[in-house]
Amino acid sequence: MPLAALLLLPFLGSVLTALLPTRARSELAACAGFVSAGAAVWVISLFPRVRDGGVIRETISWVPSLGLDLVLRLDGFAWMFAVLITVIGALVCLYARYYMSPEDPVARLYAFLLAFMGAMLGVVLSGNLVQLVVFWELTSLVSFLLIGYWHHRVDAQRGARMALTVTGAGGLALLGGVLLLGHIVGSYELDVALASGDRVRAHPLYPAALVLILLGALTKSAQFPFHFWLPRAMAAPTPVSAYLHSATMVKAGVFLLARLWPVLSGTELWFWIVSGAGMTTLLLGAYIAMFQHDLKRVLAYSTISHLGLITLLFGLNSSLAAVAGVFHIMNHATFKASLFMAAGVVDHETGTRDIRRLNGLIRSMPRTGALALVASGAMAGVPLLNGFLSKEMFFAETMFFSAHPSVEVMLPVVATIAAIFAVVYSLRFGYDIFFGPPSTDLPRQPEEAPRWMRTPIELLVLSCLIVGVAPTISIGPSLAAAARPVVGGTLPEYSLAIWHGFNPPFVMSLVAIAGGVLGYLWLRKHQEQGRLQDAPFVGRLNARRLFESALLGLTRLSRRVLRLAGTRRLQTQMFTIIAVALLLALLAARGVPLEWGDRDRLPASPAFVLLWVIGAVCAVGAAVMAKFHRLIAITLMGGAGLVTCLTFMWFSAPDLALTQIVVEIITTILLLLGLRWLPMRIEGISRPVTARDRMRRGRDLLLAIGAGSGLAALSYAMLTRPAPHSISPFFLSRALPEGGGANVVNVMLVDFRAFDTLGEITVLGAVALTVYALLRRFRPPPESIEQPHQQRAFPADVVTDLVKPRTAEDAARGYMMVPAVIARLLLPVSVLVAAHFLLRGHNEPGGGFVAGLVVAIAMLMQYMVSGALWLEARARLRPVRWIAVGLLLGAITGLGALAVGYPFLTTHTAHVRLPLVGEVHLPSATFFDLGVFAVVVGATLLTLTALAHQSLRAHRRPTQSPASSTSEGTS
Amino acid sequence: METRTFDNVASLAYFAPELGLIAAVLLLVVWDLASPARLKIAGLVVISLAALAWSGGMGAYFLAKDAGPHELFHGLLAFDRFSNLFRVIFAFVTGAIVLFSVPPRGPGVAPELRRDQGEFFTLILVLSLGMNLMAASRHLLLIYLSLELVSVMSFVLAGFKINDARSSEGALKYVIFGGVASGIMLYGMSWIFGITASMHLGECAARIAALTAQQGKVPEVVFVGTACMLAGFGYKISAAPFHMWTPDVYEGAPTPVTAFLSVGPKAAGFAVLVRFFSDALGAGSASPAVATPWPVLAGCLAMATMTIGNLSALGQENVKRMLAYSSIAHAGYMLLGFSVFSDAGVAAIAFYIVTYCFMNLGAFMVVMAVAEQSGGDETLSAFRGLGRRAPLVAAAMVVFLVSLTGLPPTAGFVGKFYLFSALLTAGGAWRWVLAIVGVVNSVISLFYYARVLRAMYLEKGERTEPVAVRPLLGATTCALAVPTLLLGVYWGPVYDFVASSLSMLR
Repeated sequence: MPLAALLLLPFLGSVLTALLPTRARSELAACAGFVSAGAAVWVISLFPRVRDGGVIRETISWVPSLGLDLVLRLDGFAWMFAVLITVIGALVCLYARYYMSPEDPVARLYAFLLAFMGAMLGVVLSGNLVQLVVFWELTSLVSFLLIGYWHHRVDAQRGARMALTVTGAGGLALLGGVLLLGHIVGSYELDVALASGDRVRAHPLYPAALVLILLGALTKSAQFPFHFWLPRAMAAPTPVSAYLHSATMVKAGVFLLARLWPVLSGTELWFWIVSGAGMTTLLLGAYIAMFQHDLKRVLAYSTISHLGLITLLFGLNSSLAAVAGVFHIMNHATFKASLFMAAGVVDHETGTRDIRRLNGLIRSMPRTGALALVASGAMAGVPLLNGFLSKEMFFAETMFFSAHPSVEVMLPVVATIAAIFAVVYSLRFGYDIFFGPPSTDLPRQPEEAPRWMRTPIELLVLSCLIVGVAPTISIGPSLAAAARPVVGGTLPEYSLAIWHGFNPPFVMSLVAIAGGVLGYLWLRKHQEQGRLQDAPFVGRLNARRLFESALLGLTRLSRRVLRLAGTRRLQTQMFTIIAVALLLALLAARGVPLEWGDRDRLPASPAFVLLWVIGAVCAVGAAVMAKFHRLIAITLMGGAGLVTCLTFMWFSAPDLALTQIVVEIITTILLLLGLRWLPMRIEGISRPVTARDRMRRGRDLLLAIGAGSGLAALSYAMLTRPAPHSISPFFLSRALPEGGGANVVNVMLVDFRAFDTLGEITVLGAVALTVYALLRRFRPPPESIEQPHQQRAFPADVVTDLVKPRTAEDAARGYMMVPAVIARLLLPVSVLVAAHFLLRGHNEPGGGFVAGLVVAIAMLMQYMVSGALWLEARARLRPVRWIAVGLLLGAITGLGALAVGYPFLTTHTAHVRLPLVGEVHLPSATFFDLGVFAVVVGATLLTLTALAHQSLRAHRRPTQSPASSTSEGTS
Repeated sequence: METRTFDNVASLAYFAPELGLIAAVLLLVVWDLASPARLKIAGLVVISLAALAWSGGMGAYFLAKDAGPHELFHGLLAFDRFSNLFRVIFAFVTGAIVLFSVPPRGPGVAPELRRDQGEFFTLILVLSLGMNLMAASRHLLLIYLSLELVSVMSFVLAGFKINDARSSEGALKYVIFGGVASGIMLYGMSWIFGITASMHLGECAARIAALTAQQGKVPEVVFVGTACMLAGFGYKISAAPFHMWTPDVYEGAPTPVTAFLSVGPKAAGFAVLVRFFSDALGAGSASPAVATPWPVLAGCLAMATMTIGNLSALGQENVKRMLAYSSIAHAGYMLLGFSVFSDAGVAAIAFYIVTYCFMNLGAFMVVMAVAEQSGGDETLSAFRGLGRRAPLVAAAMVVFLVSLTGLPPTAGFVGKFYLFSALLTAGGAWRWVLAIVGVVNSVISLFYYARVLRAMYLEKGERTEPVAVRPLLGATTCALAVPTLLLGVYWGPVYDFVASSLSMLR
């Protein structure tokens, strides 16, 4: 598995360097350098196998279910890239050893560099498109860490984040494109995709796939309009820039263009997008580069421009141009890496990168100067250097390109102008800093760089020279091997000769060099007079500003969305959700028109209508008053409940009405007890009502009316239809013969469904105990434990006795005197009523539940008017025992049936004759009902008195005055 | 094996995981009352983990034995590979949360969870039980009941920081919002019941299919009923426009609870959503001749959810709140897979849920670890310089955040990959719009996740001393980071396992 090992090697090296101590600079550099050099040797040794169009493939099973395998694939083109990546990587490792200062944590740098190398190798070795995207994103992530290496610098932070955002986003777009491409081709295998170019281009989804993939490629290669991140990324240490921004990261974009060239190119769309972006970038990058004063920024913009050139070449849809593109990739990587390194040396030795301050360095650092001059000559396209050759090929392509006449004219012109600009910025880079009077105000006294720091530059420049002088021997075979897969197997005719005769491309080169020199002199004259410090005309066309304003816009949009959809106000939330529900219901009404059923209706009598009007008024009033006066709201709610009870009565459902009314009462009591612990009213809500408030309220009112009337209409529609599948006939017909009772509901509760009821009362008991336990911990807020103001002082008109002056304590008692008497009088009556309900429950409305609630209410009234202390001094109520007894009774009744051989809880009805009373109808279910009764009494008392007891506990606090502890009224 | 319907007693054998949970709940209460103080927390954790191991283990055992499908309790519950898969997932999530909730020891910390440990673990286990039931329900009423069981437990847990106003406020809003949403869902159920005269999903499906065939389209009533039910499901998975409770609750609740709510009940919501649609509505198997409104409806929900979630997360300074919003967005991504109504889509959701469990739990865990050491500060400033102060935890956080963004080589990327590929394979212009919106949203999310990365690695905090993360938290965090990373590189077996476990009773 040579390729898998090759891919793993840098990652292993990365882990290894990360583990080494960060101070061991030389060891780290050696480790990283040997790993990269080893990889380089390994790659180069594979050349014979790919030389003649051979492809090395390795497949590792990855996700078989999806047809995804980890495919490693090395053809000539990938080989060329792998060589660039590993060789330049090794050189950068050596260079970084001397560039980085001892304070920098270099272990991290080398670990990241090697990880990046691995990711980049992964990109070029991928034989599977998804896998390619994976490594692609990995390069973005690692580059984020590399660019932000000097994390204390704000520009590094910004640059790193911008690079990650732009390239990462591009990567996501690429993923979309790749998925689409895979969908069109039917496989994610690169080989399959490369073989089905025609099918892809004819597919209706081709434009979408193309645009998405190009988004990925163009963002990565910093093409217009995504070029702005690259200059920002110059905040990285120079070795990183030399590696990422010459040979690897930014080349990934053009790598992808070349890789997919056989699949995607050849269409109008491809031409317009790719060559359009390339041409704009070529020109714009070169133009801006002329006006930069920072060495690295000059190089950054020139990189953008050269990448634009390569992109343009691939966009021309001609195989010859593609070969030129491949060639320029190699050339650019070599001279740009050496230039970055040279710039780094200058920065390292002088302490500044400002071209305006650097002058005459050739005297203090002659060797570095010479190397930089040769490299910038290659960048400018001077003959006998490698840059010249690929530039000639480019000129030739623009010259002989056949398309629309305007394009035919424009291309060579643009190419020449860009070449002029290139000469200008190359001169500024080379000539400005190395010639002229030596600068005197540099931060550091410049001297020649260390021997081994220059070596990488020397090697690179040497290769520039060799390729430039003897291209056919040196680079010919590699270029042929690299270009063959790109153009789809058959290489076009091309010549790598230095001299092609006095032809138009050569004229263009001459014009470019002459124009460049003139332009440089002109520009320098103006800049010395303080003009043209910044690139004119394109100041507005600042894509970085566009990016930033896009981000700003996004943030604004986010805020707006947050306001709109992320409200923290419950009222708005409720409005939304109810509005949605209403909308859906209206949709339903559109599909199925609402129709009334044809069940017989009762005539509406005026009295009943009046009753309902009262009920409605009470309900609305309760809703209105809920915010302002809770007591009134609760009272009004009670009114609405009462009307409900009366309605049940009206429709001949006495048992329902009975249950409803006691439940209504007990609920009201519960609310009243709870009310005790709420603040009287919320202060500060009575601000003036604005028109906006009225609008909002009106809106809410409309929604409420809509939703309410909709529900009413639905209920009406339902009620006017006969109820389907009712099980009531079953119970109605069997209650008397089988259950021995005429009250069907009660028979169901204590007989047919007695087992359920037993479960329910058990739950009720458990709940009561839980509530009691929870409320024991309840500590009311301090502001609500004061005495109600009615109980604190006398009314003004009460005369006090001089002999025995009354205290506030008396006030409390006196205040509740009349209600207390009434409540105490009512107690025996209530108990009697309860007994009545309980006993007749089997046949008439009533039963254990209702009876239990009645007793509980009667007891609670005593609590409320007399206070817990008074009551508990006189009556020993043990709710827990009530619950226990009730549950036992229920269980024993059930077991009794079991004992005589019937299923659990079977009812037996006995008829007993008692003296004086006469015949008594006594079903065993009555005992069960008695159990229910006891549990209900116990549970209700336990729950509600727990609330009431809070007043005791609160007033017993030592901070309270002793006087107030005796009166325990609530609410 | 043919499908059998069991009665109540015969069902119990297949209901063993839940029975184990119930037993553990009771045991927890007793232990809480009776245990010595020294052993209390250890005992609680051991009991909870044992019950969860039992539940998840039984689920895995059933899956391995390929048991089922059966109908339990006369058809109330389904026993199929789908429900068993979710048993395993829920047991795992709950187990992680249990570990997560172990309070820090020693003086000096003012822990929100030190009090009422017994109640806390009990509630969490009950919630787990409810989630199991949700994923298995085949009956409208049981769907409602299990959903409410989960909801009510969530309400209590959300308000567990009893002295914290934010916690109480969140819980209260949660109760009210949940109540209304459940109400609307019940309303929708009544429509479905009204037209199908049955609450059993299988019978509903037969009746709806008959009506659809008869009318040539899905009856509007079914559409409306389903849409109303979506309110209940949507609230559970916090899909827009039912997401509004999420930020308040997530921010206010104790962090373990937030992590739990953002993963467990959300996954359960998806389980019940998927089951309802494929079981009752036959959405996956509808004949193409009948135009169904579901894809458009689900697509709209998905787009709105992820856009709102992501855009809202963008401006947040509080990392916990940011994660809350981002979890809304993730529900949106999962809805993308849902909108396809194909097996591939469901498989993509299920796989995404698995990956989401790891990455989201992990991210919240890091937030908790950081907040513990910075005096409860959960904002970005607490993360400054974390890369140097706690390298391992910060590295884990990088993995989680990268995964949440959906970048390789992490599990999140793979999850998203399956979601998008399910979407694009289904084809059609509408899917295209969805996919593009999804990609744009991923890009937006990159931006706010990168802010945390930047804070951790590129910015300098006020404090530089190393962070002493509790060993338990640190270990659990790393234990979550490893699969997040591993699943991004080699996910084949896991995906196959998940995809083969989606067969459900229909």
